[in-house]
Amino acid sequence: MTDNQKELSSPGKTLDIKAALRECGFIVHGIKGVSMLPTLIEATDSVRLVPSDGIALRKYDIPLYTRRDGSLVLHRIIGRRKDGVWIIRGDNCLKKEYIPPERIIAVAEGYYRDGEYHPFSAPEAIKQARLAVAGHTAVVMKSYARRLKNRLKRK
Amino acid sequence: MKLKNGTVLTESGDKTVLVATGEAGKAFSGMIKLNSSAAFIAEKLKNDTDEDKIIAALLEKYDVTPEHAAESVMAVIAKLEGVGLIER
Repeated sequence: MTDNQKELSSPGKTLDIKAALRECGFIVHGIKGVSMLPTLIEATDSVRLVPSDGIALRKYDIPLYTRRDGSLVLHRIIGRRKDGVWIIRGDNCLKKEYIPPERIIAVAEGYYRDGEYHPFSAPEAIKQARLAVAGHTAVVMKSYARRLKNRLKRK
Repeated sequence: MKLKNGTVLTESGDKTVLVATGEAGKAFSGMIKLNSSAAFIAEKLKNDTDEDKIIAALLEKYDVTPEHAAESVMAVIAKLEGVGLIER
């Protein structure tokens, strides 16, 4: 029973995500920020991520990718351009990002909340994903309609 | 003594991995890979227990000496306590 535990990170040290993905085949990591609300809640939820080649993904998947400045981001795929670049946006964000497959490291399979696992493949999660994207489109269209109406009123 | 709320044991191939989520994740944002005996000890720590009970359970399950069982239990508890995943 020697060598019975192997720590993949230590207190105060950031988990080496790429190394842990190689070693374990998955990682579980906490959520930082509010950009994926209401799907993922900061300090409460932890996502389970598996490695991804950045190609075999679909609309509504939530990949982990690196930005040009090296920061890691977990947002949702809302579409794909003809050149293969993914169109990605946080559920609580307005701005889209255009991410090539090679910048994608992993994809979220599900999340833990209060010690319980919730897979993104569950019907309820799929429904929530569609609502998050459709709801966002409705908000943008409503805002556009309001601005147009105000502009017409001024004329 | 028990694992902090939000500490989850999950499978990865033939290994068990202990991960801290939610409240427990504030203390430790990593993962600990456990072999079968360490996973057995961690499993026992899901509910309120003590060292003696875990050692007794380990002796029942594995063919080891009491000294070896005690050593293993203490090592796992020390590791988990060290990363703030045990509450007493």
